Amino acid sequence: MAGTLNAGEGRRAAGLLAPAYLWLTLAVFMPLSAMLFFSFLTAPPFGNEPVAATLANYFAFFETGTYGRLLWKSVKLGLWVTGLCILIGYPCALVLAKQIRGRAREALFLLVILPFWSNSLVRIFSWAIVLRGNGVLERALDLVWPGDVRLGLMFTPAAVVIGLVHSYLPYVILTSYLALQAIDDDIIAAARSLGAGRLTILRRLVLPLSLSGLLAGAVLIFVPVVGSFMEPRILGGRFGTYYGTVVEDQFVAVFNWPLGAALSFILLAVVLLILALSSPILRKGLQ
Amino acid sequence: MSGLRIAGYAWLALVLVFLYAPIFVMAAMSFNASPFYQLPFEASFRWYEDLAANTAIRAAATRSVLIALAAMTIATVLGTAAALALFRYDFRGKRVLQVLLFPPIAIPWLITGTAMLIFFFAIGLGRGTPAVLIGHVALALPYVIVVVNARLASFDRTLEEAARALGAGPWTVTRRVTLPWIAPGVVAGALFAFAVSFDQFVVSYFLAKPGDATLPVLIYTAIRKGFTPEINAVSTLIIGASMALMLVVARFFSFGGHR
Amino acid sequence: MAEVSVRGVTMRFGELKALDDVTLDFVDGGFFALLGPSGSGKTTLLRVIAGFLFPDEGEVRIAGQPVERVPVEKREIGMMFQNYALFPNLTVAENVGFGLRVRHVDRAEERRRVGEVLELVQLEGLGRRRPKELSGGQRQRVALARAIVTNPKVLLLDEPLSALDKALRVDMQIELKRIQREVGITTIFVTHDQEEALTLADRIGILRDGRLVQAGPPREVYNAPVDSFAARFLGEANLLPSPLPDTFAEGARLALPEGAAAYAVRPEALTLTPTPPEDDVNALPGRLVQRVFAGSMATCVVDIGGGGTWKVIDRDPDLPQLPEGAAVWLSWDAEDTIPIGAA
Repeated sequence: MAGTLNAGEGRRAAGLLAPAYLWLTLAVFMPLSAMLFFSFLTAPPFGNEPVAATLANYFAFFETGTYGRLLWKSVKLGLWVTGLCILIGYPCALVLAKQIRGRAREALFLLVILPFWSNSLVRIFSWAIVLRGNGVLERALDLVWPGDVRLGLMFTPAAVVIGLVHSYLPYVILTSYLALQAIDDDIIAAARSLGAGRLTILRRLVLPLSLSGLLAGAVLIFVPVVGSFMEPRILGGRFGTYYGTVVEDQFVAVFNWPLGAALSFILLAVVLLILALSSPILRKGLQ
Repeated sequence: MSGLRIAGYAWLALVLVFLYAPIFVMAAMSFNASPFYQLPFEASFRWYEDLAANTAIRAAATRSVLIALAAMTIATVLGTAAALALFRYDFRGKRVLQVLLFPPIAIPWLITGTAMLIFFFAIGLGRGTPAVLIGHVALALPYVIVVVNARLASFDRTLEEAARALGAGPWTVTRRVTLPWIAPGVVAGALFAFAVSFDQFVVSYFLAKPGDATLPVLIYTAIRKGFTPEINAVSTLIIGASMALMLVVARFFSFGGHR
Repeated sequence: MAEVSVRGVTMRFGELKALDDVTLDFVDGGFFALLGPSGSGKTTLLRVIAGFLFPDEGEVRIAGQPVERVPVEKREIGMMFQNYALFPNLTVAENVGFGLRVRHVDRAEERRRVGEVLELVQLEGLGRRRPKELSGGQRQRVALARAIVTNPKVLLLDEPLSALDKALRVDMQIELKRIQREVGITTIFVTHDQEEALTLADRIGILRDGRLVQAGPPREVYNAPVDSFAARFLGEANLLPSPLPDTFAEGARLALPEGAAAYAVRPEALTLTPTPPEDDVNALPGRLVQRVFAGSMATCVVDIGGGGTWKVIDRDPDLPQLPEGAAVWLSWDAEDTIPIGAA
């Protein structure tokens, strides 16, 4: 069948596909190409300044070290958030998929992934209300802890991590849950009949069999967290400078678009590298 | 009940508290009279009254809803057509087309948004509502295609063949057999598309004109200037609306939640 | 290896009594089939013996030890599942060696025993394969090897052959019987296929609605069913009510023993003739409704008026072809009348 459409079918297929893919080309693929082109210019071609080709924007990244350090800081943030999401989310998915049965499971699963589809900006804002000095969290802790509690969490890297974990936790629960649910209960029953304890079953069967889902969730978290800027801005305060916020600045504050494009493109290269390395896992985990 | 099972339920309960507590706190504070979120709590609707009087927020909300409706309509039509073609025809390069759906989802919106900004300026479109709409449709399209495709995967192809054998042309087959079957998937895809657009902040942030902001962009600007309880009230409304919307989606489309 | 005994076991799922006061003994080294329609409680009983379920009442003993509160992983049983439940991420050898690894058997010993048991199930040389690279029959053998490699006290099989096609199933029945004899392990298996139960088991137990209807050697249960359910579930049976209604098959010659609730006659005990039989046997007149030829025999359906329709297995298909609708006589020897229950 493959590659053997007759003329009529070919026309119909093209007619159905063309609008969507033209749109994606216009709105995603051509902009990404344009950004690459831009990153080699000295100035935006629609300004008054003379425009020339240059590698200076990329040299800027490697020369100063500032951008490299910030990228590393963002990657570390991504690792922290991803790690915490796995540690919190995987057991949660395990309980949902293997411990709870019937309608309760469907309802709880929906409840867990519901925030995932609500506005992430608003959810970050809600943490700002909770974490702020003398805010709700500190006052609540006052009630159970003697004395005046001062956590001082707001405007710290910890606040950024908390907000991001809150934003992305449902991802890893979703993908792990789907992978765990695909494991036949009889496989676990068989292992028990052979004398295996819970830890052995987890280590030798459940974890390997759901690893693709877990890793897919991890990639889906890591990639956007490395490029995050809104969360650090709102929750990080003066600690909130990350790679993403610097890119944002180039476009909305400093107006050095070519540098912004180069920085954006370097981030894209890192992201694509990660996606390419994990694509076999992603394909398996997202089926 | 074993200790481990109790620990499991406790863990799940803690995760739910973590996920929902800040949202409830925010909602509660929107009914608190103090402008600085001071306790003790004093019930009041004054922020909602202020909100109703705030023309800037109302204009942004209207704009967001209209953009989301337009993006939903365009993305649903284009996405459903593409999903049908990807399902029905086998041809060289189909894999490539399927893989091309992932960059808009997987590439951080910061990159997509800045790239769109550059490109739209380069072609003379610049910032503004048309740019925002073009961007939102592009982000929503892959979701529609994936969701409709998932529904099509359970479609029995012999139904189309049977209809053809009875003398129905391709268009009649699509309209009378295929579309009724995929309707729940299309509805779910449309609601996803609405949610993607309505909740979209990053891309809108780079593409919206300062005076012409969408609601999330307006909220972000307001937060960065300093908290105001009106923002709190409008945020509560947004999150309530989007959760209600997703509950509706869940009725049409299982998230793989059951067998 | 050991004997298993179940005493007064009751198991409730909410309102439903899945098992109701079941008492059964499984002798050491025996091959026992639990037979019953779906929902009869046979799988529940197997899972109670395995330790996946703890009974609400009653006692389960394995080798004389009470185990009804011992979880499955501590019971030293071997179990085979309907879909085999092989571990897809492990090789055949790792699957079979799983129980040994759990018991901290050293690696050399593990290799030796895995090799031995793979040889027993005739899968030598397939140790490195993954389950998905095996055929249905091979998976079945791996599942069996994995269940017996730890020398469990008892082997439990949950409809082990139902996923195989007919021809392969018959081969595997013979194979399973051979291996069970060779190992000499007490084996309990659940099936809804009465033919399979008769082929494999040296004792069977019939369950219905959570109750044990009858247990004993297959021949005994077949020849002396305690009620019409047992009579019809194990093999086919034509039933005669007792007392016979007045309208029953006019012209019938019946000499039935006294004091039974009903009588059963097996289809293969009946002889079909176009004329009334002359000797002193039970005989019923009827009308031939249908005759289905199947190789060495023919199955006939005969309408006997007020008694409904009877099934007859006619092993003499060379008899002159009777047209459908022809008047016929059914006859059988007195000793083939099976009295059921006391009146």
